[in-house]
Amino acid sequence: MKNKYSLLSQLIEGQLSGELNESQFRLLQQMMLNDPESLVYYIEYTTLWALLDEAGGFQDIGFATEFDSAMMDAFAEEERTAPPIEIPAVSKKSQEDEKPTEIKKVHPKVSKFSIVSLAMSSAALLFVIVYAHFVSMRRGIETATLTDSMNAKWADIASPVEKGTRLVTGEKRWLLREGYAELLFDNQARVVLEGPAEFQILAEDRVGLSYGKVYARVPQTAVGFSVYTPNAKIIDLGTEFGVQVEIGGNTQLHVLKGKTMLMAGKTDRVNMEISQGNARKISGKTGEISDICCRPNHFVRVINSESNCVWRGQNLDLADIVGGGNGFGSGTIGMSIDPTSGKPSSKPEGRRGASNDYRLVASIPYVDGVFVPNGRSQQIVSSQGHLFQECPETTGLTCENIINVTTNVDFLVTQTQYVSDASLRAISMHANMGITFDLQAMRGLIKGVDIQRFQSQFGIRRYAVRPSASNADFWVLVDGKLKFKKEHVKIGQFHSIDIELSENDRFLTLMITEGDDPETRFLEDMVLTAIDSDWGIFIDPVLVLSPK
Amino acid sequence: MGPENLKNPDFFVRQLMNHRKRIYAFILTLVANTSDADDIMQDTALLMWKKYRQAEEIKDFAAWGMRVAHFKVLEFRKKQYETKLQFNSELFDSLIGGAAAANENVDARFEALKKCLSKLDEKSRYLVQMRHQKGETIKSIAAAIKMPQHTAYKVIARLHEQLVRCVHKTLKVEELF
Repeated sequence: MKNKYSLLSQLIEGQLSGELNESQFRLLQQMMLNDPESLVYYIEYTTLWALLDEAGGFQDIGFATEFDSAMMDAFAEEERTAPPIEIPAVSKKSQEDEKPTEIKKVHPKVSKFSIVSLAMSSAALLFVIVYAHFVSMRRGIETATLTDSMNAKWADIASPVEKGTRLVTGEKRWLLREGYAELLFDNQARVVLEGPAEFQILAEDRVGLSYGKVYARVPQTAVGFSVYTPNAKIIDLGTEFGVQVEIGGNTQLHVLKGKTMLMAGKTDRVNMEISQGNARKISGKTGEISDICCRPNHFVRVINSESNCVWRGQNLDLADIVGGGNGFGSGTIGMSIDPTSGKPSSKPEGRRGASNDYRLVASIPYVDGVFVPNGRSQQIVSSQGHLFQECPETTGLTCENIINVTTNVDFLVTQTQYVSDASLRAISMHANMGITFDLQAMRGLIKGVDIQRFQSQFGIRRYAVRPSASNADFWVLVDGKLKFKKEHVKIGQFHSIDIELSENDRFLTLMITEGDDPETRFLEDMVLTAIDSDWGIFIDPVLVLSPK
Repeated sequence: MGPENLKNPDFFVRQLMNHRKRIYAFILTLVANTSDADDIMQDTALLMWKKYRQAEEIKDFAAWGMRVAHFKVLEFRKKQYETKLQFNSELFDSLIGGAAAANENVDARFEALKKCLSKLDEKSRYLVQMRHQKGETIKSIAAAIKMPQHTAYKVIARLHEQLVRCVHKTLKVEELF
């Protein structure tokens, strides 16, 4: 009789785990139908299973906490010498009585909890969120994909973590020694980890962070997504937030968008909503919660290994792009583009004349082209043939190149002595010059991020050797259409631009012309050209980015 | 349960947590698959919450919860009829009665189980912990004990069998073996 229960136990065990084949399933059913003892045993067994699955029910019986390999070796040895139990074949007749079906394991791609929560009232949502954290976690389920990584070094070199690797729920701790990794959960929550960081995938909508930094972007389909740290639980309520666990055990929560629920303290004693623009620190020693400044650029929010971009929320710097960079500081100060050829240059060029041809810039993917506007014929301002109809007539002269420089605002405003702590990036453009940036190419730099605005300050540089001769017009175009102009800008004047951009805008053009000055001017006893001293500069020219 | 509590999520959650063991065990016995039982438990909890707010009076929360769960299991069986093996109707009906009966003393059963667990040797307790508290799959346990997967099944099944016997004995119910 004992063998009957051993067999039953194995069949039930297999069935509970979804591993029985059809004939084994039929056997289990047959045993229960034909034998009341087997039926009772099955009920007791499944009830026991359910009780064992109760989370946290066994803390008081002293479970071992460390894996003991010697113990497991001893187990293995015992099993090698244990007698086998055969599962007998099932009669064909009993199989024919039932419909021929097949077990198909289906794992939800999107958390059911998250979907249903959308349809519920806020009170119900609160309940579901609280409830979900009492429910035992399912393990071994593939739930997230490594979608990108940059300079990532993982601790487990035996099983490499590469793009496309599926991560399963469970106890495995992932150690990202350095670099960055992006995970996309099946419920569409996106998480960026910054090494060094140690984490676990606790459930289909839950990450455990032992230390390091994680940034989560959670769409509506994944509301309820959570980050657990040793002393806090952060539950998303439709948001973007960053969590840092310091080596000393403190947890920092920075909420950049929407709101989260923070549960902190050793027994979840404190629950509070933290909304956009707020941050909290939870002491690792005392569990005390304190207000801290929300730091929007503290976390890596998006990575793109193809363009080598790490985005912390900063703006895209167009001066850096002129310097051959990716807009995030990789460009070279002093690098320039010659508007008369479209080629990069690091040498100063003197005054010269040029046709108003549109010249493609092949060396920088985010710069479409450059030109010397003269308004005498149609002025093309993009590789797609966009025309600037209102282009003013100029002499067609220019001087120097379009240069990536550093400066400071005081210098522009007061024209006082140039100071060495200049920290702002700027594009230096003498009249007459134009440069067109390819917004579409920049959108590819960091996927999942929108270009929202163009902002800059502008004026005339102090380099003007005859300051009183300066007089230039500043123009900003989008797809050939005039969006902004400021005429007759002279030295000592300081202005700002702020232009909204839409996702359909393809090209942004910055242009400086000579300000209606005559071809030949007289200043005191000097004869000057129209472009004399028109050293225009766009200071801190940026594209403001925002996650989609 | 007074009407003042009827729309209070905290009160509902406490009730649900108190009786969750019974409801979950009931579901698991009927569907015999832990993953399906998890999903049904979640759906059951949601439906309970919706009904709870409309209900006037619920005298026996656990019994009511099992009625809701029964409904959800039937719905599940209907939906999964073509894709999953299911116990036939005769067996299913037998299980409903048996599961509800076994659930009546679930708290005592839980206490007995804790005692039985404490009697296990350390290595056995560790395996139970791996399977249930840590949620390890049979595959990962097999890797840990350095044995084929079918052997791990055997080991875990034997441990469960041992615990069933112990709980049974502890509760001093009718001798099964």
